[in-house]
Amino acid sequence: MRARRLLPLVFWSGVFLIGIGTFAYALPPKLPKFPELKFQPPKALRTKLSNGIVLYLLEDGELPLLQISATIRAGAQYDPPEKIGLGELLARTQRTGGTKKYDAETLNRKLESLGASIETGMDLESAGVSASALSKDSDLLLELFAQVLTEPSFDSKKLEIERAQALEEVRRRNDEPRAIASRELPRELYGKDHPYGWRKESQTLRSIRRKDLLRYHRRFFRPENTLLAVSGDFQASEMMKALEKLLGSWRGKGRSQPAAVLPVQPRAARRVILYEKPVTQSAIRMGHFGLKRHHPDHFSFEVLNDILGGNPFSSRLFANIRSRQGLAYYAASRFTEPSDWGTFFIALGTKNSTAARAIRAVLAELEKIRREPVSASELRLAKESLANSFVFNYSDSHQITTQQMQLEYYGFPEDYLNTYVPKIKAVTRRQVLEAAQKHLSPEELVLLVVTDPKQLDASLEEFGRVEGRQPD
Amino acid sequence: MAPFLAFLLILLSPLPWAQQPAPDFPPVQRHVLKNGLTVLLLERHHAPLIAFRVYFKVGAVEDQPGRSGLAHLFEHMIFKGTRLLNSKNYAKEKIYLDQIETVAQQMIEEENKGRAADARQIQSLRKQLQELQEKHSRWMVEDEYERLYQEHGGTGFNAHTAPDYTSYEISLPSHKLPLWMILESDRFQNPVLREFYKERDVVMEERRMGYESSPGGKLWEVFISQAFLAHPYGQPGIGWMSDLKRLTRTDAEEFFRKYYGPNNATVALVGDIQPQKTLELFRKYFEGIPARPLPGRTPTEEPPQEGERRAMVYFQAEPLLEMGYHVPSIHHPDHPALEATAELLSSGRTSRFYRNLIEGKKMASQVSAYTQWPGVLYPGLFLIDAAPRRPHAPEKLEEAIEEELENIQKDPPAVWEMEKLANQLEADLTRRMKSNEGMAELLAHYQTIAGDWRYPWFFKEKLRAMKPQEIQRVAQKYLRPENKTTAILKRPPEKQEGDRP
Repeated sequence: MRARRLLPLVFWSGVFLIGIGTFAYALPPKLPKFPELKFQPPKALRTKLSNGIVLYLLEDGELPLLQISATIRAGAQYDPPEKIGLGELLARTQRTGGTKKYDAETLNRKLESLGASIETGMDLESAGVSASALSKDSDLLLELFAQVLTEPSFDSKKLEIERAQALEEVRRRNDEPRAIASRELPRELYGKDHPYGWRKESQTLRSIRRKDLLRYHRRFFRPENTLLAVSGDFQASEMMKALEKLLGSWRGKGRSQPAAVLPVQPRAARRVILYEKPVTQSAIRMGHFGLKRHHPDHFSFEVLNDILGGNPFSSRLFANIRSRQGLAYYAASRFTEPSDWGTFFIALGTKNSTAARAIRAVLAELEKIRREPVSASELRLAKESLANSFVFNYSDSHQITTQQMQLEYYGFPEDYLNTYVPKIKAVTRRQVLEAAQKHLSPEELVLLVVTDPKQLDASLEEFGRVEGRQPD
Repeated sequence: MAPFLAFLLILLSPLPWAQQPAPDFPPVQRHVLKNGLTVLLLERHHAPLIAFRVYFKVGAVEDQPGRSGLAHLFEHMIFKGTRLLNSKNYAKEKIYLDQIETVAQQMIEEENKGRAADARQIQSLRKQLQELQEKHSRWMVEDEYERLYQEHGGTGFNAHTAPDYTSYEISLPSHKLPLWMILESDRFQNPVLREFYKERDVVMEERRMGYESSPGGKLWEVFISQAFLAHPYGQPGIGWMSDLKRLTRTDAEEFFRKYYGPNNATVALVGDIQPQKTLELFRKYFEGIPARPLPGRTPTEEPPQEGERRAMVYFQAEPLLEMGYHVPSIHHPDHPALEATAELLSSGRTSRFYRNLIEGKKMASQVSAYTQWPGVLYPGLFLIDAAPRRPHAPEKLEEAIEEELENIQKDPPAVWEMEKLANQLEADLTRRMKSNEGMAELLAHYQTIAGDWRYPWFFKEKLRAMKPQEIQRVAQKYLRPENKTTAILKRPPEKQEGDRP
């Protein structure tokens, strides 16, 4: 990893000069010159098993551990609309339901008696299986991992337990105002029928059968859809042999069927969505469509977002709404980049009696960053912050290994990590302004507010047409 | 800056000093500077990174009645810079800071008169305060301390206030070690608590978010207030709203002077360091900070509980349940067995609670046991929190949980269960060593609350040697109905059930 020499450490010089010389305190404390950071991070070896499974391997003998992560080309976005939650129930039962060879109790006992773990998960665009154990237990871990990946039994009793757990989550989903706000904003933007916006419902969960899980597993869990990342205390050649033995003969049944998702229609118009709840703090989300993965404006937008609200303790939103006005504990902007159009949104919580004031402050910040170029020092801070913290992407050997796997999975170019820092450093004030003007559109914002409207400082009509909703 | 640190549960595992053979400790160096600052250093050179943890042995337990929330608010305030940081000119700033304090105190005094308060007077003081804050802000630099760390690649920047301790956290690329030395030695020596009354508002928002608008937070506050009649563990660390409104910058400054001495702190650095050079830097930057006399920690003691206590909270949310049994502090010999009991009950899919309550009886959607909440330094609680699964009422789940406790009282756990616990801890400790942050936290935490960072490794040996009957014995001794406090959250009666999914 390359890191460039830091600039001489006089920050925001215009600001500091005021203090120097005239008064008793020399500002700020004098900092030394830091040496250049020299670091060549380890790289995982990429290879393939005979059946096409992509394999990333990284030897790391520091600790007697073995860690495995699989990414499978599946995802909750492929749930049939009448069975939303299928991917999630599959992932849950894949682990808790046991395997063809070991029933659930045996599997649990074998793993936990060694302090080992296997967990499964499903997000929008991928499925995952991860495993970890002390390296003395590698053989057993590999065997159980291969079984959970390729031969889960989806025991019907365990499916009923996972279904009941998921139904309980539906019942509890409106207990926290922040949960309502975070979940319903994408639903407003993408609609209830698009996988980026929809949510599991009691009736969709109830319609899921064990055969749906088996079919889904057969369709997506195939060697050509699978990538593995393995790190820890082993020799790569031996690990490859062991994996080949366990997984190399795994074959998909029938032909591989590609899956597709309805394209997103990235259009929105300003409106206010109001959820009434007897709370003392309003949960506010303001969002619209943003970028998609691999968008050419990614780097300028990342810098823009860092300055506006991404940086955890020094963004404009943090400085204005939290530090200067004391209006919120959290006030931040975020963006998502799935394969189709993602969202840009602002999240904040403030007492009901300052909700309108806080929304006005956010809108003013959005206008300002679209109107005026960011200052040179703000740009520098954002770029330095993103570039200098980049080395944390190499904190741990398993992180390095899974990162390489994920980058391939999501189709990033091979030199992505090596070019990230130079690309961030190349962003100019003009590009940040252009990104703001092109990708931030206050007139398209959907404002979602969970609040007790009787306590608001002003009617939300001020911000657009208000549509009332009941949490359901 | 979240209020409480939710630790990896297995690591909240207190035990008294064991007479076990020396376990396989990691090669941590421990040094005590002349001013009493404890420094823990662990080298790991896999990446050019360092995790930093600073722990002070002061926490919400130090909050005096009527001043709840002060330890936590102070934790926020020490991010506000020093005479050198966040300032354009401290001498100019000080003029306004003093005036702000005077006006704020007058305002609080007037507000304290309650119905006799002069509303116009309050209005006018509030306006004065705002004008002074505006004038002050021209002489300060917003969030500069944070910006410096951000600019240099800092991550995981945060702090937590627990009842027993307060922790400050960051990670940096290792060549920025001197930056940390400069900033932190300045910060813990010369903090300027500027923007106090705005940050107090931020903490009130934190309270609204975490405790007033959240069913879990709401129930927790009622539950601990009920469980502790006398000890400050019963006071919410975030502070009661009316107390927060009365806290002043003067209170926070006194708090700092009283408790934030180097002799009350432990610092842990884990990662790409050279111990000798690092120690030299510590000597250079930290050893000159004078030690100060520390007040003893003598909070009001909790009298023995002599009968079950129950509380109910109405809230628009699905039901939740908290149960707590009083148990002794970390220094008591029963602790390892109590910790093992909690793990046996709720750790993993082979645990009693998972097998019998989530899967078997299908009564719970979530149920966990922990030792020693809210803290570990004083007698605390063996805590069980749970969410029933419809249609089961929380009271029914409570009965089923008690049945599980009775089962342990009747029969000691199986040998495989005991082996499992020891193996799990072994694997968890090894995994923990993979993370600089995880290790720094572990070392500083146990050095602070147990007086020895090696605590978890001693516990591991203790657990290996533990007899199943030990668990049975502590369950009989502590997990008794008359030693229990229960709090339940439900929807208000008239709106219960309704048309929900």
